[in-house]
Amino acid sequence: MLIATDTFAAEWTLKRYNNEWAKVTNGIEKNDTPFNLTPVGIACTKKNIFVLSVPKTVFNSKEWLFIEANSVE
Amino acid sequence: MSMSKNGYVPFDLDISGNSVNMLFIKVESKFEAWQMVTSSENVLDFKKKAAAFLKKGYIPTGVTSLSKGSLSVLMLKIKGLGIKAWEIYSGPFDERKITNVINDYYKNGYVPVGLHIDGNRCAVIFLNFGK
Repeated sequence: MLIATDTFAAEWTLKRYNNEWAKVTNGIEKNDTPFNLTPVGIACTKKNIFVLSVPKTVFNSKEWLFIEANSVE
Repeated sequence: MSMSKNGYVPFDLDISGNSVNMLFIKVESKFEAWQMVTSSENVLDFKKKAAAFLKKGYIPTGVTSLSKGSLSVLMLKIKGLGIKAWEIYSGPFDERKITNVINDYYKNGYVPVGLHIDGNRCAVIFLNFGK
C-alpha cells in the first residue's frame, strides 16, 4: 500500500506492507523497480513493514536484497 | 561482511525483539568499513558522537533502536561516496506528517535513507550530496 510519495515526480516513496517479506519483495518489484526506484530504508513494526525508496541513480544501485535473521538464545 | 565481497553493502537495519532485518544494496564502489554509533534520541547527542566518523569519511545510512530511548545509526565508508551535509529527524510518527517532513528535506536537496519506526516514534536520516 502506498502511503506517501513526493508531490512532484515520484522521486521517493514510503510504502507500508503487511508483515510478510515475500509481499514486500513482490511489492517493490512491482511498484518501485519499473520506476527506477530502489529501497534504501526499512522499518518493521508488529503489523507492518515500511519501505522507503529513492531513485537508483542516487547510489548507482541496481540490486538489493533483504535478510531476515532470528537470534538463537 | 561476506555479503560485501559480492558488492552488497548493509544499508539499513531493523532490530526488534529476537529478529534482525537487514537491507543490502549493491554498489559499484568499494565498501571499506562500517560502524554502529549509538546515542540517546537527542539529535545533538548523536551528531556529537558521529562527528569523528564523519571526519574519517563515513556516512550515516541506517537507523534502528537497540533499547527504548536510544538510536543506533549504521555508518558506512564507501570509496568515492561523500556527502556535503546530513540530518537526522527524530520525532513522533504520523504518516501524513512524515510525508511532509521528507518532502521539506527533499526540496532542500536532502535524500531520505535510513528509516526507523518504533510505536509512535520515528527517525529518518537525510543525506545531502551537494548536487
